[in-house]
Amino acid sequence: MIDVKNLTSYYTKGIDVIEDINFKIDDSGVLVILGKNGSGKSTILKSILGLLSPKCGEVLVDGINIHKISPKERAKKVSYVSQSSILPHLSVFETVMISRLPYYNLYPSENDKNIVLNILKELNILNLKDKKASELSGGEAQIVSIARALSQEANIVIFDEPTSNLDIGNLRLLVNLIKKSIKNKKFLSIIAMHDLDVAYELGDYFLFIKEGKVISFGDKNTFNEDNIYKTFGEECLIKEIDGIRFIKFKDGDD
Amino acid sequence: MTFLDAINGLFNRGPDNYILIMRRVRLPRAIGALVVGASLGLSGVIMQTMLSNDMASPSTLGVSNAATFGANLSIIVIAQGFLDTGNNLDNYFLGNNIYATSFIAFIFALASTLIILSLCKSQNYKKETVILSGVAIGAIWSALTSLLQFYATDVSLSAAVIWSFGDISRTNYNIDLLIAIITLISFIFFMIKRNEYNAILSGDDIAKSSGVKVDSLRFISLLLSSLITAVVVANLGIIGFVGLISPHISKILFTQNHKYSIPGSLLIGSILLLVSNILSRIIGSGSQIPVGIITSIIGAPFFLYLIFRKRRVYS
Repeated sequence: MIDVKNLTSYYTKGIDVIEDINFKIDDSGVLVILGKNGSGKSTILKSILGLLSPKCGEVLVDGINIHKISPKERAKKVSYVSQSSILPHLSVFETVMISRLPYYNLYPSENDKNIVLNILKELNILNLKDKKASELSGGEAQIVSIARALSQEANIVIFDEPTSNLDIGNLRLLVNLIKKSIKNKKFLSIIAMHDLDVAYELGDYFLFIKEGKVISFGDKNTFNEDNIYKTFGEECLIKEIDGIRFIKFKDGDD
Repeated sequence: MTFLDAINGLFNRGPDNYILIMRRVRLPRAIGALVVGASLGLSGVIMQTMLSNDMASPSTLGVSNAATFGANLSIIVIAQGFLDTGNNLDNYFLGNNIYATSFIAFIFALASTLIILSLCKSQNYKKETVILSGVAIGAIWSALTSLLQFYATDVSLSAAVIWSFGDISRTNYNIDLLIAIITLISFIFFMIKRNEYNAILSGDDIAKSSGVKVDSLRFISLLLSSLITAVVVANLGIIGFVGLISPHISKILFTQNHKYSIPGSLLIGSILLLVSNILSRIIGSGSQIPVGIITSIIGAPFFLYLIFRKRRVYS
């Protein structure tokens, strides 16, 4: 499904933000990218999205280099939920319809509209259809952003810190929603975050990043004390009680 | 002239002087007000979307300043104090061309636009870069204009200042047609791209990840919007506020969806300028006050009203 080979990218010439990133996932599921602020998580995501051209290396999605195809074709392969949702003064329906742009030229078809309506229904926000997106609460706005990304019907859906601006109530709502909307689907979700509890809850695969380099990549077994220490510089203890995993840091923070 | 005389004159009936006034003077000005208002409204709404800035206007790329410099150069240096009204044609090295000042103003406005867009290419037409470049280049044109005016004779100076007043009475059918053609072509392009503009409202990254070629769309849109403004300013002078407030009124009335806000802003621009044109005749009681003065007098307080109303309504 995705094959990232020797990916190196930068914003300012001479200062590589990410260096020689390699990972490959063949199945659908959820990849969580973990790392401190400024470690290069968003840069990896932007490179996969095609928003940033790599200095070297390539990103193959279903065998196709996404930097060598048109923006429309790329949008059919990768969609995006950004860190902060700037939602316009459009209705929720009009906002989510933006996701169908890669599929039509002048006018969206009935099929395009039905796909959007089905996603709104699936995410329980059909009642917000005619409400102005700019007037939504933070949690609702993030759900609309997810609806937009899912309606794009891409092979890979990218979430950049989707829970970072939410209070605890909205965070749980969103985590449950993400689990419901992306689990058992035939696409790969790539989520960047630094919340370890939520990360473990959501992830099937983990990519630990520090200072733009890969510390470790693998399945659930990769999520261990050693990799967390190497990535965040904090010693922790991971315990599982009644099937729920707890992460306790040595300085006393949970 | 009574209202009935005016209608008769419009349909080629009645005394010759009434027919002449209506068909040669009043009608092209009324059409001019409609067409120019439409063009400024259209240019304004696209500028505001492409630069994600409610303060953006048709002149954000310094087009008006550049055109004013071109016109000053033509009037003060080349024509030595005469407007392009026909009384100076023997002195004009460009020949007997009543559009000479407009042509030079347009060349500078276009050049200024191209300079700014070329400068911003390396930054992928980043919005902040475009706006600040517009301010900087605009300031250069203003300084050069002041320099010309400093050395100008009294006659040249007054002619140059009069030129800068946006004035619909300078229009004729040819200018109306030229502006209408450019506006129509731009309108068709903008409407084809309406959904891509909607995507840009959510930010460049979202638009790009939805398949929009944001950089090239921004380049073409800014170029077309500035081209419209260049043609208007070069021919009629600076008509302020229409391109700034029309998009705001349109967004309040028709939402931000470009399917409605593009034609909406165009329509409102037309109405605003037509009303301003009528007011400029009423207030001037016979002689026509340049419409640019009226649009600024009405536009500025109205804009303030919109800013405070906006806080409650659509922000």
